Amino acid sequence: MSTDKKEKRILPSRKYSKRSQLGEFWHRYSQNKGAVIALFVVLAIGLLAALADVIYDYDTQIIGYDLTQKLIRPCAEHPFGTDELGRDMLTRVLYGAKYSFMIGLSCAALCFVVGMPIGALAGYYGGTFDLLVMRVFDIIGSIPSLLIGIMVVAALGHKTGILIIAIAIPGVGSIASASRMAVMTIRSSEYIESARAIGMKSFPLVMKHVVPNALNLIVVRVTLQVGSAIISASSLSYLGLGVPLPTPEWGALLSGGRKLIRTHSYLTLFPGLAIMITVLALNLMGDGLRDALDPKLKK
Amino acid sequence: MLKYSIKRLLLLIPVLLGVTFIIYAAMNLSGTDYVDSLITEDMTEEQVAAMRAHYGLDKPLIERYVIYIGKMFQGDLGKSYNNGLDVWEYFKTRIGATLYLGLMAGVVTTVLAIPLGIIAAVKNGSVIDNICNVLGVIGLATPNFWLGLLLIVLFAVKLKWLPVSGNEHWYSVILPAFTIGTGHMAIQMRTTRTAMLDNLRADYLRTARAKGVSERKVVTKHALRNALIPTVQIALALLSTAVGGAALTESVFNWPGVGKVIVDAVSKRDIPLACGFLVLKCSILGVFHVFTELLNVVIDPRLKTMYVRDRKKKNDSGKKAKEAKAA
Repeated sequence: MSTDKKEKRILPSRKYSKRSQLGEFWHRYSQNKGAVIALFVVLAIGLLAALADVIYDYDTQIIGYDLTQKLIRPCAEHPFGTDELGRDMLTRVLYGAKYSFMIGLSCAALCFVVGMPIGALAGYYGGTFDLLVMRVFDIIGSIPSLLIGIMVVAALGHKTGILIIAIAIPGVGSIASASRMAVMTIRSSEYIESARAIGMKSFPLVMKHVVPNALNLIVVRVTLQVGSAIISASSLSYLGLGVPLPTPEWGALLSGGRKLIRTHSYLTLFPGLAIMITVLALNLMGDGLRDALDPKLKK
Repeated sequence: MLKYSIKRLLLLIPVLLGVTFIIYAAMNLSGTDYVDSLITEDMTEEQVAAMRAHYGLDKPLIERYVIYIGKMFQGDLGKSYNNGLDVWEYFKTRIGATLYLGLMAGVVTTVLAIPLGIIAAVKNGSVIDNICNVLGVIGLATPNFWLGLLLIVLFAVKLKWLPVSGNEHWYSVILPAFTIGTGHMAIQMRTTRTAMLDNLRADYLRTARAKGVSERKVVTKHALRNALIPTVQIALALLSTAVGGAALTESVFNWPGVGKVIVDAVSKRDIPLACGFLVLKCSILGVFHVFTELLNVVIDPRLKTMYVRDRKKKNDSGKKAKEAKAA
C-alpha cells in the first residue's frame, strides 16, 4: 500500500525530469503561439525556396515573356497581375523566395562561421588582439552598411556570390561583438576557472566550454541576421547592384515596379509584402528562440 | 571629459584613413577605372594613356593613395572626375538637404514614438500596448525603401497630395521624412516602453505612491524623467543614422542629398568624389558621436564617472553602449 502511494507521488516528477533537452526546448518554445506560427511560415518559405525549380520551369514561366499579357491588373487568373513583359507576378514573387531566402541564409551562415570564432577569441583573450579586432570592426561599422555593399559589388562584380559577401561584411562585426560580449560574461564564471585550474589549454577551453554556453545568444542573433540580410540584399537589388536581371529577386522586382509606379502601383506592392512577411516571421522566430533558450526564464 | 572628447576626435583619423584606403583598394580591385567608361571606339591607345595620365590614374595604387592623403590633410579633396567640380564646394551644396531630411525624420520619430511608448508602458497589457507591439514588430520587418514606395503610391499617385520626388516645395520633405522616421519609430517606441516599464516598477516609485503622490505626477514627474535617459540616447543614435544612412531613401525620392551622390560616384568609379564625400560624412558622424556622448553626461550625470575613472572601465562601457545601439 504504502509503496504504491510513494510511487504515485514520484511518477509525475519523474516524468517531468525525463523530458529530453530538445523536448524541453520545444515545450518552452510552443508556449509562444506567435513564434510557432512564425516557425511554420519560415518552414513553408524555406520549402518553397528549396523546391522552386521543381515547381516552376525557369525558362518559360519565370523569364519567358508574353507581350499579349502585359500589365494586366490583379484578377482571378493573375492574382498579383502581370509585369510589363507579361510575366505573372505571383509566379515571380514565389520563385523569388529561392534567391532572397537563400541569400539571407548563406549570409547569416557566413557571418556565423567568420564572426563567431573571431568574437569569441577576442572576448576570451582580451588585450591587444581584442583591441585590434574591435578597432577594425569599428572602422567597418563607421561606413554605412549599404555603402559597403555598393563598394564591394562595384569592385568585385555583379554576381550572387559577391552579393552575399557584400552583405555579410557588416553582419560579421555584429555577430562578432555579440559573441564577444557573451564570451566575456562567461569567461569569469567559476566553471571556466576550474577548467583552467585543471590545466586545460586556452583554445580547446574556448571552443569546448565557453562557446557552447554562449551559443544561445549567438544563435538568436544569427536568426535575426537572416532577416536583415534579406532586407539588405533587396536594397542593393533595388539600386540595380544585386542579383543580375532578369532574376526575380524581390528587391529587383521592386526596382522594376518603381518605373511604373505612377500607373501600375500593384507591381510594387506584392514583392515588398513578401519581404515583410518573411522578415517578420524570422524576427518572431528569433524572439521565440531567445525566450526558449534563456535559462533565466525557465520556470 | 574634455580630454576624453579630444581623444575620441583623434581616433577619427585612423578611421578615416581606413575608410579611404578601403575605397581606393576596392576601386582598384575592380580592374576597370573611370577612364574605361569614357573610351570610345575611335580613340587611339595614346589618347587613352594621355587621358589616364590626366586623371593621374597611370600611377600605382599606393602612390595615388599617398598623394591623395597628403592633399587631404592640406584640406584639398580634389575634383570630381565626372563633373569637374571641387569636392568640398560640391559637398557644401548637398549636405544641407541631407541634414534637413535627417532632422525632419528625427522630429517625426520623436513626436510619434515617445508618446506612444509612454502610453504603451503606462497602460501595460491594454489594447494600445498590443497595437504598439504589433506596429513595432511590423516596423522592424518592413524594408524602409518599400515603405517609401508605398507612401508614394498612396499620397503622391492616388491622392495627389504630395510630390513624387525632388525637393522643390516646402512640403516635399514630408514623404521622405516619414519614410525614415516611421522606420526608426519601432526601435524608439520599444526603448521608451522598456525604460518606462523599468522605472514604473522601481522601488522609489512605490515610495512615491505610498506617500500619496498622484499617479499622474508619478508618471510625468518621476518615471518619465528617468526613462528619458535611454530614450534620448537612442533618439540621438537614430538621428545620426538618419543623417548618415539615408542613401536609399534619398535614391527612392530623388532627394538632392549626399547619399545619392556617393551611390552614383561609387558605381561610376569617380574615386575623388566617393572618397571625399565619405570622408566628410564620416567626420560629421564622428563629431556628432562625441557630441552625443557629451550630451548623455549632461542628461545622466552618473555617466561622468565612466569617463574619468580607470581606462579599462571606460572601454567596456563605450563598447556596451555601442552594442546596445547595434542591437
